[in-house]
Amino acid sequence: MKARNVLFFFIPLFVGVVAIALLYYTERPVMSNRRPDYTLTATNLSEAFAIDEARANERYGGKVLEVNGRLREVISDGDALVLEISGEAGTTGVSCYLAKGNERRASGLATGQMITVRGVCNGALLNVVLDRCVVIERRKDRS
Amino acid sequence: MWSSIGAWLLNGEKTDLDQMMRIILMCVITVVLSGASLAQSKYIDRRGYASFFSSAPLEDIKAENNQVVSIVDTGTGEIVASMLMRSFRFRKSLMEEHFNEKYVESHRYPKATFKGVIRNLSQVDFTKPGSFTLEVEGEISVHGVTRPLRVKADAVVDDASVRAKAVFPLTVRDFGIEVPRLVMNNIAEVVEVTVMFHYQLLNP
Repeated sequence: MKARNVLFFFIPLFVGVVAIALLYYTERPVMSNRRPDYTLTATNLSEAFAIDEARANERYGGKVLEVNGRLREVISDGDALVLEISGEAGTTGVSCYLAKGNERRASGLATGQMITVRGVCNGALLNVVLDRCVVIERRKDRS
Repeated sequence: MWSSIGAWLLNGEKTDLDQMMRIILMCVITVVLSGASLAQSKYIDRRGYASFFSSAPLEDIKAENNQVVSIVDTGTGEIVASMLMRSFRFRKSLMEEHFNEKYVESHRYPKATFKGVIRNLSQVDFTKPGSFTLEVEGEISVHGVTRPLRVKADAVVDDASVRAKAVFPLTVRDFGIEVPRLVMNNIAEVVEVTVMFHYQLLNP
């Protein structure tokens, strides 16, 4: 009887500890597997923050966005790779910080080409900032 | 005096000595003006670094942000810096979630900012390579609360860039961030903040 009581106590405790450890230490789902909350162009996203930053933060902040635009520049900054995606004239654009391990997918990108990226919107400083980005699609069209 | 020099430069007698003096004076004026423009320039770092470190009985927590924007005006001594709270990365994803949702409420207060000025600007020469200690004073805003802040930063001036680093303490409660009793042994009341910038000349 005593051994069974001990088991009844320790098994749930063990399961609870494992569950908490998994929850605490689990990495986020890979961005390429996550469904975007919103799909929009770099122009629309930049304009949203320019017109009403507070409202745009409320709507897009912390959400997974899929953004399409023209690649303006690829910046290597230490061990980080940043894709600068421009909107139409008059908009600031989007700075897309690639998730670690996705640098290879960004190789071969050429400035001027249209790309689609997916990442978490952190808000806007000089540009709108997307974090943990992955490249979803690239097109060679440079028109 | 300057008008007569200007007139002499433009209309003086064209002797060899006059021409040589004119050339020398033009060179001197050009060098002086160049030095003056270098001393009154804006520098920017679009990907600066900020971190905070919390040491508590049960655990140490560190978060890093590599997306800080800062601009310094070496003519007026003004410094501004801005960072997105969601850009702070933690080793543990749940910790990052709690940080954003419960502590700094980044959906309500997405940014932290600093606006200040270099108090000892006259003792700093931005026109040539050297190392200086900057005394910076201003206001920092976090979680919707603004507090005065005075820090010393180590600065190194290179040919076309300025590197700066500062380390200072911040009391979490001063910014309206409440740490629940349940996690008081996990999160320190005072965190150590480190900022590092590598400023480049801002193109006009």
